[in-house]
Amino acid sequence: MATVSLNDIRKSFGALEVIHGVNIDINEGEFIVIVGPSGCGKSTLLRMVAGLETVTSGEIQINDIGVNHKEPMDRNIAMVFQNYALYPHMSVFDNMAYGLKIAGTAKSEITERVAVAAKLLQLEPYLKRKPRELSGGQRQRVAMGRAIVRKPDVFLFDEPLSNLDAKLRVQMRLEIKGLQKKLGITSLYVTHDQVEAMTLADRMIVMNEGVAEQIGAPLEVYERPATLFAAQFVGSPSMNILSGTAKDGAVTLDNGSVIETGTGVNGAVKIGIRPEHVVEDANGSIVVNSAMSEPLGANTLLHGHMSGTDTEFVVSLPGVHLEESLGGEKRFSAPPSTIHLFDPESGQRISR
Amino acid sequence: MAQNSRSGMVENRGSSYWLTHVGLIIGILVIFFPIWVAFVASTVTQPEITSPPMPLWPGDRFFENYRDALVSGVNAPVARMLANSLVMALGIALGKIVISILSAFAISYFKFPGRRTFFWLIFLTLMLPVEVRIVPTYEVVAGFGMLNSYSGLIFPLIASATATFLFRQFFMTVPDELAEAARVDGARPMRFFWDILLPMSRTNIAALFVILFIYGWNQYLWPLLITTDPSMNTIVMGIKQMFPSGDDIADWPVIMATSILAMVPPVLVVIFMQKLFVRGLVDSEK
Repeated sequence: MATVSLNDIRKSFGALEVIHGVNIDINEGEFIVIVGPSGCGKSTLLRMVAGLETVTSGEIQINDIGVNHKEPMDRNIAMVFQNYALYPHMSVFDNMAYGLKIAGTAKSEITERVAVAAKLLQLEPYLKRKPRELSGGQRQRVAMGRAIVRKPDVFLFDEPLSNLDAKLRVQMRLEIKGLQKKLGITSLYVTHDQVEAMTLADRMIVMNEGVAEQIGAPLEVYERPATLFAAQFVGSPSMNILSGTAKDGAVTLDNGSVIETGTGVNGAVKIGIRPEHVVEDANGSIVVNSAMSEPLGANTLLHGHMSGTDTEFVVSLPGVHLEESLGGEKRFSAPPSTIHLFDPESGQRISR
Repeated sequence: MAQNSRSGMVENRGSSYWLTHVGLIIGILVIFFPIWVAFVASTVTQPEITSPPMPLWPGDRFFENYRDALVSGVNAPVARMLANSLVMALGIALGKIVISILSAFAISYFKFPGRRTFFWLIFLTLMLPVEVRIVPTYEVVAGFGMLNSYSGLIFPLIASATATFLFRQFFMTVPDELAEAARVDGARPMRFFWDILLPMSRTNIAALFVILFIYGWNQYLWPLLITTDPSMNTIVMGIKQMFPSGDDIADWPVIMATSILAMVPPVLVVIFMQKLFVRGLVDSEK
């Protein structure tokens, strides 16, 4: 168990700065998920904590001790890689034992620790096999086992599930979460999948272009996104963003529709409405020319444009709606409490 | 090769199938014929060879001729020359592998100033065949007093740009995460090299060993230049030294026995290593 803190971490490759100062204090046993689109610097950040990349400026502390100049092995971390990075010529047992062997752990203890981890991960029947004789999910487990046996202070996961198929991914996601809760080891987990982030995280870091847009609990990020980017990245389908002008507790959209917001903000704003918060309302002010529907069974996604503009608008309606019944204009409304306002210049949330 | 035809990649075994085989068999006979003649010549007496027609079936002098060759030879016992060749070929093959795998490791896994320059310098030496630099090399070796010695036979040929290049190409296909995982596991660079990179390279090493062993075994010009003492001759050049100068009579049966003996070790290496690297190929993955 350990605390980790990042103090104004920056990273440059040559003259190009790719991470522009990230700050976070991670508590003991906390599960932190770093989420963002490809190229946002999330993996680089993780690799800096691992010690595989140098830190350009700022300080990384594990248990209040600066580790910037320590080798990965001296940081007492364990890492699970995207492609597992198992040693192909070693058996599952040797893969898991390798770190301990290097550390000079006694043979009996190695056997015992590997046995415990193998039991935990249901890998006991496979200890003698080579990685190539295992399925994707089993390899994934071996990679986790290799991390567990070392009893590290911090677990680092670099998109560990992205090579698995969808069903297995959900299963492994639950396993990882259960395991982390059971072992109580502080964890940093990188993913581009916002669903993974929402389900795993105690707190998540939403990254975009090297900036931590928001750090907070998943539901907090969902309910009160700090920036336009966080608002659109978290939640599926993503939030509808419309431009308008706020005055006297209402926003007038570009096409003239007026949406009640109940806030005293004035001036140009971006207004955000989640598709799942929109309700059918014959007198509603949101007029959508529907173009396509995607029935998902439990609900139906309706894709269209705001009437009179080409701004896309997505609505998620409960139940099944067939495309024929949805043609033409439809009216919707959104309760004022579900509406988010953002500054169009900075993208920051305007608090109400 | 036999395995391929047995596993039946060609389903339609019509006349073309048999024609192909007849063609291949004829080809093999043509290639094999001179070797057969050499073998026959090594089992008969001197007069039988020199009086036409040449015999085409083995005689009864097999043991006598081979014993003569191995024990006394013409200038030096063939056993001695075989040993010399073996030392040289093994020295060159193993030395080349050790040096080139280490330099490829350095070039692929470490960032140091002039890394690219070093790589291209090594690569450049590929362009220069031994013959081009043989006179200065001789001068250097003579200056070190290494004429007529194993070190003189081995060291000038031991650096290998080709092997370095091959290992570097192989190392580039090894995922970076493997090195990183080892780093996180606490392996220092040489430990990573020894525990992970080396076992993963074993197929490449086996293949290179075969090629380099034969390269070393077949060296002709270099041993001819620097070994003047018959007891340091290697077998490939030694065969040539057996030919008489002037009016002496060539002892053909012994020369032919020597030729056959010279072929045996490379053939054994190929046969033995083939098993090893086929197994390696089946086992290997990245």
